[in-house]
Amino acid sequence: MKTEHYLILSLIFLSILSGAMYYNTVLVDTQAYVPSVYYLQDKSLQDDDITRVETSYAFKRPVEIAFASIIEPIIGVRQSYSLTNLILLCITSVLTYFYLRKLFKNHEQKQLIAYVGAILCATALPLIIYATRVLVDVAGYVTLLLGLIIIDYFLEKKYPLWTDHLKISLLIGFFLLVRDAAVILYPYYILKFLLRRGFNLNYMSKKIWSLWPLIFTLVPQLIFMWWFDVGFLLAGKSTMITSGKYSLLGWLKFFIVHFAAFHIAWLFAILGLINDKDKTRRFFYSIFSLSAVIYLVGIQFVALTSPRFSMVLFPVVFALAAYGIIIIADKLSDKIRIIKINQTTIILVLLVIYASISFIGAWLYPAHGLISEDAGGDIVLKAVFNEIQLKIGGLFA
Amino acid sequence: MNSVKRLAKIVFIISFILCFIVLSNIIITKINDKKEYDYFIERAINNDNMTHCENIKNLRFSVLCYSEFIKKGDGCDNENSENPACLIALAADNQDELFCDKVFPPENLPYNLECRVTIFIERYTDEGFNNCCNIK
Repeated sequence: MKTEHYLILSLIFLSILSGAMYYNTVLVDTQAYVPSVYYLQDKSLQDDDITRVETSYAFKRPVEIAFASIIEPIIGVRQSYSLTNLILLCITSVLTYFYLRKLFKNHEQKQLIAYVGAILCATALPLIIYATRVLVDVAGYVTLLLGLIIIDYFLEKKYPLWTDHLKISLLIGFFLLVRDAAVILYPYYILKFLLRRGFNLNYMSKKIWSLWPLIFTLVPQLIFMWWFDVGFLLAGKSTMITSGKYSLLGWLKFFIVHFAAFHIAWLFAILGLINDKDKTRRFFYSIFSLSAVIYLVGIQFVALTSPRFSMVLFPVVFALAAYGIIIIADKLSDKIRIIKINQTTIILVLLVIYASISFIGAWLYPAHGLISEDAGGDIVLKAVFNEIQLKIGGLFA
Repeated sequence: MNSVKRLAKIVFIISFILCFIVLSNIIITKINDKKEYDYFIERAINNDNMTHCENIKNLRFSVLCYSEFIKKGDGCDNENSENPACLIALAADNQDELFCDKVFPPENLPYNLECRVTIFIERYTDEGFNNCCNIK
């Protein structure tokens, strides 16, 4: 078999392993995703179920629901979400590999870095916990990656036309109907376009007006709202901004959750950030991180901060972490050459440690109680310790 | 062999073996669960005693077993009054999601959600309990 075959098949197998742990399980949002399928199938729903669908935030992301409603008669409602998500999870891992290979196109070890990054993605804690449940989170990450690839493609042109901006606007608008994480593509797109010639205020002030087709991004959303007579994506969200979320303990929860999502990959990523001197990539890290942080802080105010939102950081954290792992492996293999430990062995050991923490973390995920939206970091830690007691205690009972 | 191919080959072999073990385990468990279900539902029906359903470890099959009796008009009384499978079967038969909140409080979250989602599925399809209750 060719190298590429091994790469792709191993990523698919790893994705299946990750998806197996919480396959077909439910979370609070599932209560809206399930009746939404019947609603789109035009089944005669009870009044309270119609209200449940039309007022739910889940229904504002109708693309995967629509797909599930097509295959539901064949495999059932839960499997139609879970199986679609499992396939999307495999696509995600493979797409991450191709995206990172393009990002590191000038690096001599681009294939290795991209593959390590894709393995980090396939065994990521947030994907193990959320990807294959009866939810639509992983579809959001696929749109994020596709959006990045398409934006990069259009902005590689020397003079993008207004029609190019229009295409991107409509595309991101459509992606918002898959999952709201695509919203970070706006700041990324605008910053990438305006900063093409560095921080040149004269150029930026001239070019900002050429982004006018961005207003058409609302078209898919408006068509959806008109067709189904439902409110805007953010309708009702203002009532969810509560004091608990921006208290000190609320921010503690924010840091615990996003730290836990990547655990030791953060250390590799910091090492990668220190060592990666490539200007193009550093520009990408800066503008994408800025876009993602704006989104994550926004989410902290209007929704329950959860590791599933950390997915928006994947392209940056995994690119940097993969680079960091290669740096560690290169340096260590030079130092301990006497006992013949090569680069591959060190990379493999680091990946096994990372994947093991992800799987153990996913197993210890606190699933036995509802953590309220206003809960602080102390409540999250308590729930985690309770789960550890329950699961570790259960092993010896 | 370059380092990428070597790494990819090792990861491929490890992930393939693990996948094989996990998927085989899932299939074997499903077959054993079905056997266990067939055995206990037969005993439950022959003895007209739904308590036998309690011995079925898989929640989905246990719900399926209890639902046979619930459909006939039995309730979750005495020994079955706190059995999650019996309560889910009862909730699904009553089509009452508020009942799920009553019998499965927030600290019993996975059961509460499974119960509610099962009701929605039962309300609009004849899927039965096919996909019910993948509780970890």
